This record gives sequence, structure tokens and C-alpha cells, in this order.
Amino acid sequence: MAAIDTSPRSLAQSSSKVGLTALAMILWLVGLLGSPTTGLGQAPPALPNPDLTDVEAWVVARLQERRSQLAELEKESSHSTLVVGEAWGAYGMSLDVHGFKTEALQCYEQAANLDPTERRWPYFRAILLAELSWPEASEWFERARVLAPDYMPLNIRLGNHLLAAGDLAAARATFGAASGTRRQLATHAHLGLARTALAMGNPDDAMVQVRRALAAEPRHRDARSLLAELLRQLGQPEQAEVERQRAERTEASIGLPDPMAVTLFEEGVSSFWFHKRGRLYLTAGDFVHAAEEFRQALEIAPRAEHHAGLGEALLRLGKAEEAEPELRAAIALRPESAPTLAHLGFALWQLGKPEAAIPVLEQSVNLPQGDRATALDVLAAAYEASGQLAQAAETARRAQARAIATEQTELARRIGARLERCLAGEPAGDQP
Amino acid sequence: MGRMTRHTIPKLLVQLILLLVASTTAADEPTSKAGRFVDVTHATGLDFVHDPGLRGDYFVPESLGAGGALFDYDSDGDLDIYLMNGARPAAADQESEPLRNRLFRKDADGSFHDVTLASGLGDTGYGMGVAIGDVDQDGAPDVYVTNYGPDVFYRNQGDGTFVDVTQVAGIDNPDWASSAVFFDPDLDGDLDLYVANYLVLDTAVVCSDLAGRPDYCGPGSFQGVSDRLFRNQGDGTWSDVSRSAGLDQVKGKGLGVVSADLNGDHKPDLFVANDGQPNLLWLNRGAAGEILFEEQALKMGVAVDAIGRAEAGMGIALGDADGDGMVDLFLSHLRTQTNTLYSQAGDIGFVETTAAAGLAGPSLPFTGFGTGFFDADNDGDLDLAVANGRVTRGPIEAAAEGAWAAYAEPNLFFLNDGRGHFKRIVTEGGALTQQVENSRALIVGDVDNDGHVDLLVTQGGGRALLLRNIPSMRNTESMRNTESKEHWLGVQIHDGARTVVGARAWADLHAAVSSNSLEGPAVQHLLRLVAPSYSYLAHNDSRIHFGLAETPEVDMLRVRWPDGRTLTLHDLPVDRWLQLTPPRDH
Repeated sequence: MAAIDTSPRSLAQSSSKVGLTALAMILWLVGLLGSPTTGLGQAPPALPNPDLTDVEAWVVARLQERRSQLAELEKESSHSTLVVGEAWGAYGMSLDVHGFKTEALQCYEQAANLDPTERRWPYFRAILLAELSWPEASEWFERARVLAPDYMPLNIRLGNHLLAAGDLAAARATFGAASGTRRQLATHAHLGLARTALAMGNPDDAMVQVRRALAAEPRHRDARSLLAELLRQLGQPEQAEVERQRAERTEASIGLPDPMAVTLFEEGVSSFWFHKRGRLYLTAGDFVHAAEEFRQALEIAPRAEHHAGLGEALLRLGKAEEAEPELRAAIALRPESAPTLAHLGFALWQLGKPEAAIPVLEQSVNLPQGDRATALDVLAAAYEASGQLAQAAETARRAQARAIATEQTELARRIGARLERCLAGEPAGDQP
Repeated sequence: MGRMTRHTIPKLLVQLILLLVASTTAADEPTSKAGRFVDVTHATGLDFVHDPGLRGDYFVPESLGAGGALFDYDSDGDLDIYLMNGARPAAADQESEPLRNRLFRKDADGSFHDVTLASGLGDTGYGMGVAIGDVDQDGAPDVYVTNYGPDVFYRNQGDGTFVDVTQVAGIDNPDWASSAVFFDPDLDGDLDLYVANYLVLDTAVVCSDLAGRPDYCGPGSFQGVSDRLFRNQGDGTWSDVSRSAGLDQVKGKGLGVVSADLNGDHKPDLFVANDGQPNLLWLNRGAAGEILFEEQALKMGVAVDAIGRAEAGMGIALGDADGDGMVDLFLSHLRTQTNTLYSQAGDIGFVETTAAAGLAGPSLPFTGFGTGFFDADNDGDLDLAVANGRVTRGPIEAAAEGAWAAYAEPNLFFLNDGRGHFKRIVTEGGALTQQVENSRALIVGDVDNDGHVDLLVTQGGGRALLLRNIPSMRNTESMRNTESKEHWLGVQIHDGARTVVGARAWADLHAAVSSNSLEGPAVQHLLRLVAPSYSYLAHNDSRIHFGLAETPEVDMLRVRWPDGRTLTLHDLPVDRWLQLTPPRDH
């Protein structure tokens, strides 16, 4: 069988009544022969073979490995469809995470046909189709939902797809089905319900839902931003501004907890993916694994962001001596990175070199994205340690103001103590 | 499932299925590229292929360029075409002819002829966009070219030639400029200039795709930069008033800019689409003769999407999309983000209505650049087109070919149902929607003066396409409700010799003009603006166009000039172009 074109145009073109009737008869005949159409009796599709020009070596090796495994299995007609389906799915995942989306769609479809009991393949195919805004995404989400009726991230993704497609009633029902689940998911479901209500022209209902989203997860930045927008639309600009500022102070968006999708990300072996996983480990506080991921990224491509990530991970592991050369390597490649300069300054401070730390930190805090409370606090500490108490006090004041503005209460309290010491002329030389 | 063996169905049966599907598909295949927009590029002699001067190191300007303009440079009553070009890398063969922007004159027989060298408009900088305006009020439109590198300002000498007056004018924009707009913020009668700047490019930054292949960097890798505002001193010189106007405090990554009154105080404001940063809405706070702006995008609801996310703002369309008498804004964005429609909603500013308007889902897979509201089928409401093309490598679409195939996408075309809900038109869009290219600017104008709005679409690294709007092609399924007549009225609003930017016109019609509407109002008010700088890196037809469906006359036409003068005309005949000047008594 040739690769199946599921585009809307293709489906529209094949809608001839005569053609469909005849096709149905033949498929019925196939049914009579006792062989389900899901892969049985059909010639397998050609194995996707994407253009790998300029692709990183590890990615090429992974794709070739997956493809070879699949080709070997395809040669033998005695293998279980489950085994072959798994190989198609694995190849699809590898293609998917490395950006070969069209080829991945083919693999997932074949995998789902060969193993109709496996929920990952229709789910991954549905996610890709939703990304492409193809209407068949709903059908594939539903196919996955039959296999995983209690898997609520699916409902959130399907709801988002339906909302974007303008099928608001279906979106509301789908989000609604996920709203009674554990709070990490419920916050996404209620946000979806709020966005749907807003699209339906019902800001009051949207307000109810967005407050539920925030009750489930107060740090949900997208929900906080939507609350601000609703307040603005409802004629409460001052409250809207307060909520908007609170949203801005939230460090990051609350991601959708989706264990199945995580297995997909783990397939990535390009420097991009090692770096991305390194950042995720950093955020989660797993600095050992973060350092491993950044080291692997560097092995593939010695870029500034990988050196910076490794330097930060080592710094957080208390290995300032090892962190320093990584951070210097990053700065040599990208001289104006405020966070990297701040980390280098902190490393130098930890190594007992406040004089060396000061110019690096000054450069960091004077860059557009460098005006952060933590970097300013380290600079104040470096001034304090080097006996420059006036500069230390001035910088501590600036750090304290930033900490208060960003609701970092404990940091603001500690900076306040430093400020008092500096003003009293009693430097302590503590760690920031 | 047990160990079932595969490959058990006879090959003959499979082949029969395939044969049947293939024959069904062939029978339903649309014939060539039939549809409303017909590619007349070759037939009219328009011969321009954008050359980004590829360097081989994924130089970011290569992925963004290809602006253009439709304007009547020789004041002969029809629209000529000006197209931006890239520049050769410094290391290129110095003997080779430099790449130039190109000017094509439209002749009486409808054909285009390259008059670049004779006109003096063949700038050799790395061209991005263009703004057009009659800055010295001599009736001849002048030209500002934005570049990666120094911009160039040309004065039209009125004899078909231009002279570079950048230095004499004192306009100095050292940053990477994208879109620009001539407008009159101080309402002193002459045009001033706003230039949207993109970012500070660091060519040492290397970016890659998911597979580690080198690719074009996105804006997140670079710092933003402030835009510039230049005031026309009236004596041929200009002054940079960015600081005193309050504009220099914000560093954005501007790609699109429009000017219009967006808060109902009759003063022209500015809206800037930023790439990956909140958009800017500069409300005009200046007293008469003063230029002063205040940034209010967040408070007016147009900075970010409904959940507070800054999107990749590229192009901007401007118009009354829902027919409520207020101007709405539509922004094109990166794939995986929807394009965004901000509908004006009175005192609170704007509200996002993308999904409700039917514009969310269709845009998700594509990266939009040029865009415009225009009445494609002359039924009285504003339809919408979006030129698409990727900025990073993606799967190659079936119809894509050539060096930029991995960046090519189909364009989008939507018909408005008269109530602000849009339906995507695919096959019946003709060449606009069926050709898959790396499109950038979409430029709107009635090139053949037949009352049916045509389109010029530029391609990054490809051929500029002139798409003629041919109404006889519209009797197809999705347009079946429209009758055979597509009446129209065109208006050119003057003040003395020049077209007046910032004017507005309202047409009152007694019949329900949109025959797609089930229940139209007894009297319909159509609002149109003279705001030709919109879309992306583009200057569009500066004339106003009303589609009137079957309405045989316009009951009332009211025009408001930016200085407050108005003109009201009754019972106007249709299917013609009018030239209007303000009444002598104010």
C-alpha cells in the first residue's frame, strides 16, 4: 500500500459516491476473508527515508539504527504484528522528535494499524495532526481515548485542538471531562474551559473557570494572565494590572503533565535535545543529571549555551572550580549573556576572589536582562567582602527593591540584613 | 493479539483498491489552478525573482526579506510595482552586477516594464521594506526604503525619476529596519515617518533545528532595539524626535507597523507588531503641533494573546472586520501560534476574537507574514488573505519545489460572512491558495482599475506573483450565494495634489449588501480607511474600495479628512473611481 494521504484535500477528492461504494464493497470483501485491514494482508508501506544532509551524527546513527531494526523485522513475515508495530512506532518517535514530522505520521499510522492495542501510536499521531491543524486529529485522539480512557492529558490536548478549530461546544465538553482530576491537570482543564467560555462570548463564566484554575494551581501563569485580561475586559483595569504584574513575576508556565509525551522527548539525541533536557533537570533541581545532559550536548556541538548550562549545573553542585572554565568558555563565545556573567561572578565569589567577581557582576547587572535581585545581591556581597561598603550598601538597596518587586520575601530579608551591616560599617563577608 | 502472519491478501486485490482510489482521485482533481485569483505575472511581463544573496551561514535577513509596493509613481492613474531585493555577500565576485530593488512601470496595455535604472530607484542595499508618501506635497509620491544597513530616502522629482536625499534630509537610521509608515501625528498637514526596527543581529550566534542542522535563528537569540520617529521640518530636512516623542524607552523587535486612530480621538496612533515580544500601541497624546506618544498596548488588550503570551508578530491587517464601525487589528504569527484577531470593543480597547471568528485553527500549521483585509468578492464585507512561509526548515509540502521548498507553505484566504466570521477558501482561491511558496509580503490594490481588488505576493528567494482578481471565476461552491453582479465604488481622497493618509470614508447602503448574511440590517454602514502602510514590509493601494454586491447606488458617502473637514455626497452611481477633495469652507 502506498503512503496514506490523509490531508483534507485528499479526502475531499476521494468522496465520489461511486468510488466510495465500490471501495466499501471491496473492504467488506476483505472483511469476509477474515483479515482486519489494520495491517494484515497489505503490503507494508515503504520505510520512510528522510534526507539526512547536515543532520548531527548521533541523530543519523539513531535513525539508521531504528530503521535497520524495522527493516530486519519487515523482512521476516513470521514476527508478531505487535513486535513490528513497536518497531514502526519507535522509528516514528525518533523521526518525530528530530523534526521529520511527515515521515513520523506515516510510521505512527502503520504502528497503530499493526498494534491497535497500543495507545501511544494514535496519541502521538493525534498530537502531530493537531499541530498541523488537520481535522483528523480529533479522530485519532478519540482512537487513543478508547485505549486510554482515563488519560486526562489527552483530553486537554484534544480540547485545545477543538478550541483552535472553533468547535467550542465539543471543546467545552472535552475540557469538562478533565476538570475533576488531580490539581496539576485540573488547572489546565479549567483554563481550557475559561478560554472556551471567553471565545463563546461569556466572560463571566470564563472568570469562574479561571479562578478555579488558579485555585488548583496559584502559580499557573497563563491562568493568571487570563484573569488579568478578563478583569480588563470587565472594566476593572486596576485589578487587571495587579494580576498582570503577578503573572509577570511568576517564573515559568506550568507545563502539562504528560508522561506519555515525556517518553517521546527521551528519544531525542541531537544537541538540541540534550540541552533541553539539561534545562529541565536544572529546573527540577537534579543537577547531576543536568550536568550529564549538557556534557553530551557539548560532545556533539561546543556551543556557548551548552557550556553555560554545564557551568550552571556544576555551580549548583558546589563545584565552582569546575564551573569557572565552562562559564568562561561560554562567555568567550557569547560575551553579553547576563545570566552567564552572573554565574561566573558567583563562581569567582565562591572561590574567594571577590575582586575578580566584581567587574564580571557589574557587567552582568548593567545588561538589559541582568537587573535581577540575586545577581545584585552577589555583587553587593562582593563589594562588602572587598571593603567597598558604600557601593555594597547602594547595590544592596537596589537588590532589595528588585527582590520586593518580584515577591522574593526571604531574599529581601537577607539583603536587608546585609544593607544594615554595610550601613553600620560591620561587614560580615557571608555567602549570598 | 497472537502471532498472526501478514502479507496474506492477494496482491491483485490490493492493486484493485489502489486503482479504484487513483481513478476516483483523478476525476475529482481541480482543473489547473482555477479560482478567483489568477496568476498573471508572466502575462503582464512582471519579471522579478527576489535574490537574498545567500551567504551559506544562515544569515537571518535572508529569511525575512522581500517587501514591495503598489503605487502610482508617475501619476498616470494606475499602480506601478516596486520590489525589494537582497544584496550579494561582501565576499561575492566584485565584477558581478549588484542586486537592486526594481521598479516596474505599468503601461496602458496592462503590461509592466522595468524602469529601475531610468528611475533611479535601484538601491543596492539589503532591501527589506518600503513606505510611500508625498512628503513635500508636490503630488509625486516619495519613497523610503528600509534596509539591513542604512535606509535610503528618495524624493520623487515628478518626471519619473527619483533622487537619493537621505543625507540632505538628515534621516539616519543605523539599525536593522523592517516596516515603515508615513503619517501625520501632529496634524500639521505634512507627513512624518515612523520606522520599525527589528533587532541587533549577532552573526556569531549559531542556531540549529531539532536534528542539529544549522538553520536561521529566531528573535530570541538577539536583543531588541528602539524604533525611530522622524519629523518632517517642512523644508526638506527631518529631525529624529524618537526621544522627545517618548518612543526610545522601549526596545522591541518590530516587523509590522500601521497608523490609524485606534482610540477614537481623531489623532493617528501607531501599532507595532513585535516578533516574540509584546506588541506596542503608541497612543497619540500630543497637543496640536506636538508629537508625543504613550505606550498602552497592555491596557488596550493588544500586547499579547488572551493568556498573556507574547507572540511572533509579523504582519498586520487593519480594518472593520465585523462591520461594527470600529477598526480591528489582525496579526500574522509563527506556526503553532494562531494568527490573532483583536476586535475593537469601545472603551476597554480590544478583545481577542480569533477562535470565535474562525481564524484560529487554519493558521496553526503556518507562519504568516503579509496580510490584508479587503473585499475580495465585492459583497460589502472585508475578506482576509495571509501570505505564508517558514523561517525555519520544515516538512516539504507536496506542491513545493526549488531551493526554498523546505520553507514553502500555502497561503490563506478567508471569506467574511458579513458578520465577522471567516471561512477558509482553498481551491477557489486560485493561484493565491494553490501555489506553495516561501511568501512574505502581501500587497493589496486594484492593479487593473476594474473594481476587483488584486494582490501582489512576494517570495523570499522566489518570483513575485501578480494575482488578478477575476470575478467570473467565483461562481463556485463556496461563493454560490453571490449573484452575478459585484458592484463597487472606488474613492481617492485628496487634499490639493496629494492623497491624504489618515482620512476615513463611510458608505451608507440601504440594501443588505452581504447576500451571504441571512439577516442584514436595513441600512449598512461601511467604513474604510486611507492607511496604505500595512501588511508586512509593504505599501498598498492608497485608494479606498467599497464592495457593494447588488446595490446599484450608494445612498450616502461621507468622508472625513484628518483635520476634521468632512464631505457628504448622496446617491452616487457605482462601478467607478471617484476623486474627492475637501470642501473649501470648513
